[in-house]
Amino acid sequence: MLLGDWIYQIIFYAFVALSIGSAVIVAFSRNIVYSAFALLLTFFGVAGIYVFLSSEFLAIAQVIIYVGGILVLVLFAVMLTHKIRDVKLSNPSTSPYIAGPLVLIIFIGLIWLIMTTPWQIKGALEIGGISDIGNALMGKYLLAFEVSAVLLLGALLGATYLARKNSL
Amino acid sequence: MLKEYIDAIKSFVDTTIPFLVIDAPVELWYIVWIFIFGGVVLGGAMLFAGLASFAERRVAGFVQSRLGPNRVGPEGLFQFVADGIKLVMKEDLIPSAADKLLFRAAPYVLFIGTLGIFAALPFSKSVSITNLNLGLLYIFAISSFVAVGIIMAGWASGNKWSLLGAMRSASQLISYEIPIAICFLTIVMIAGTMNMHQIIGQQTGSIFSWFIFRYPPFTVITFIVYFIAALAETNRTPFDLPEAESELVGGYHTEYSGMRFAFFFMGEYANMFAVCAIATILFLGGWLSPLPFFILNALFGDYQLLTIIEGFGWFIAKILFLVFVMMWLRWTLPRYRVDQLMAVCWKVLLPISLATMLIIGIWSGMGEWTSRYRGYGL
Amino acid sequence: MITYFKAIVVGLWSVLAGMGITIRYFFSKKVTMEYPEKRWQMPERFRGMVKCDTDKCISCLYCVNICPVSCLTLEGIKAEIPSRVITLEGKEMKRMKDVTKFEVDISKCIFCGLCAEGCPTCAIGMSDEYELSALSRKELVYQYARSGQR
Repeated sequence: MLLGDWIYQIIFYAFVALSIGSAVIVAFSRNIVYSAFALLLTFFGVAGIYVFLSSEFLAIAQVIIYVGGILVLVLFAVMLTHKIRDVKLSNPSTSPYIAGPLVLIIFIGLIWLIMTTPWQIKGALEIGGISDIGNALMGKYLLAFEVSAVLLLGALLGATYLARKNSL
Repeated sequence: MLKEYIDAIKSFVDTTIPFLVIDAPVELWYIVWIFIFGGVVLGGAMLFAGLASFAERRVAGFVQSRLGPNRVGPEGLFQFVADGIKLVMKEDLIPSAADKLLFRAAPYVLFIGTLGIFAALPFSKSVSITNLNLGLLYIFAISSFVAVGIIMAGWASGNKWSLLGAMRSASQLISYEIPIAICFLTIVMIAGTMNMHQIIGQQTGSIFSWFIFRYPPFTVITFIVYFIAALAETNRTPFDLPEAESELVGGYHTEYSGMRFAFFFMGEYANMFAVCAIATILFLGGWLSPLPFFILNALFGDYQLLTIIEGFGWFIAKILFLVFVMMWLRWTLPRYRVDQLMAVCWKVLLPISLATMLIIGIWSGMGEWTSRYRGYGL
Repeated sequence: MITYFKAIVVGLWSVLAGMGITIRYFFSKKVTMEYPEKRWQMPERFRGMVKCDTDKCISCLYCVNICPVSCLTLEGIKAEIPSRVITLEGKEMKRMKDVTKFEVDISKCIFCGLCAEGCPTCAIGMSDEYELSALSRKELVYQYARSGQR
């Protein structure tokens, strides 16, 4: 094996370890703020794996939306919570003996699905692939695009309505 | 695509430093290259942060009819060295109410967001750490780490002022990201690319082909909107609510001391440099000369290296001018109130940037449309 | 709608006006006095450190008596001392009081200037020296012996 391949492997597995390890922290941490910050590393690790799949756009979009938007909002909400340090019920584990086997079955099922599905392996898109994505969004998937836009607009209007001082 | 970079770097290293040609794999070269360039950029950013902090104090002094620090070195130029030594010697205090781990990690998270921007900046003609095709988007993405770092610092300090500063900062950064994104989008629409080198390439020609003069006066408005939003993104006055010293002691870095405080400090100034660099690239032609020719090329002949050197000079000069304007504004304007801050963003900057984007889109689209269909009797 | 745009234009204009003011100050003359290198010219009647020209002093003890805080100490003896008047034969010796000790305790002095006002020979006076800090109390007691210097 070439040295270069080794370096690729090391970086790839570093990202994998980062995302899985931090995901474990998200799930098992007793402190809700730690969970939120570990989520940052998870998103970052997943973005790194996207880069290895040569879909840079997805990686960057992941960072913009999840780190820049959603994570900050989550932290915002967490910090507005009163006496955050006293909340010990972030991840209460109830009846792990039922959940464990259930999760294991789902995990095996997913692995089986991944292994047996005949994946369509396309050649790598044009670097970044942003124009392809743009054309697809504005052409083939225009309806879905517009529907999600309407959904967002509805959410926006709802938020404005809730924030009104004297509602109608 | 990583392979392409690596091959390019390998060939660059092979041709420029022939005495160093060892039969090492290209990936190793790439890593060595990253470390060298990263070190240079880190050093440069720190040097800039130091000099900018000195310059800020001098500018503040001059605006207030004072002289400012002028004792250490010629005209006080080495003041930042003295300040740096002082900060290194200070005790690294961690308050007992703080969350130790997050308190320690926060400055680095913030610094990742700031230094990450430098990775995609084109410093001169074909000089950048990585020539990303999605450079602009990448910059937008990586700078969101700054917000996370600030929130982390504010929460981990275990101090109400820090937390208040962090909350203000989070709401401010989230809000002002939207006008910035729309300004980026406007430029991407004009340029048709997100690659920083290609954006600058679109502006070659005379000074009037820079994007700020492209669709007068709408790109000027876009530039002003971007600049105001960038002021808010870097927590500079008049938007320095997160660290309002008269209300919040020091904001999110109240509890920090010594080297960790220095990280926040340098992060702020490096961030200033970064946003000014982005403004330069998007609106003021990046490393392009405002003259119709490059001075060094006109003097010594048409060598690529001279263009690169002079381009770097122009790039830095434009950035320094914008940084000066930022300092000038800081010592001119008082601070906004929180509600005023939000009103400026949502009621003024956002509609204006949307309107200019729409107008520029129609304008540029019309040009394309008429040129395409001119032959059909339109 | 018009008020909206008007507010924006007025706001931007006020920012520019403010920037104009600050840039004018930026290039204006600075008021800072770089102290150890440059000093203020003290006014003529400034009352600084008490100084005594012991050659002129006739030890009349006027200053010692009038000093409200008793910060002056003066001792004199009768002696033949060279007069300030120079004749053709050289210096004329004159029998008069000679000052052997003249001390000013600056830690007590209130710089009222009464000593200087009444001095019959104008030997004692207030200088414009104002940097009087010292590291110990002893150093605050200034002694003037013969011929001026302390």
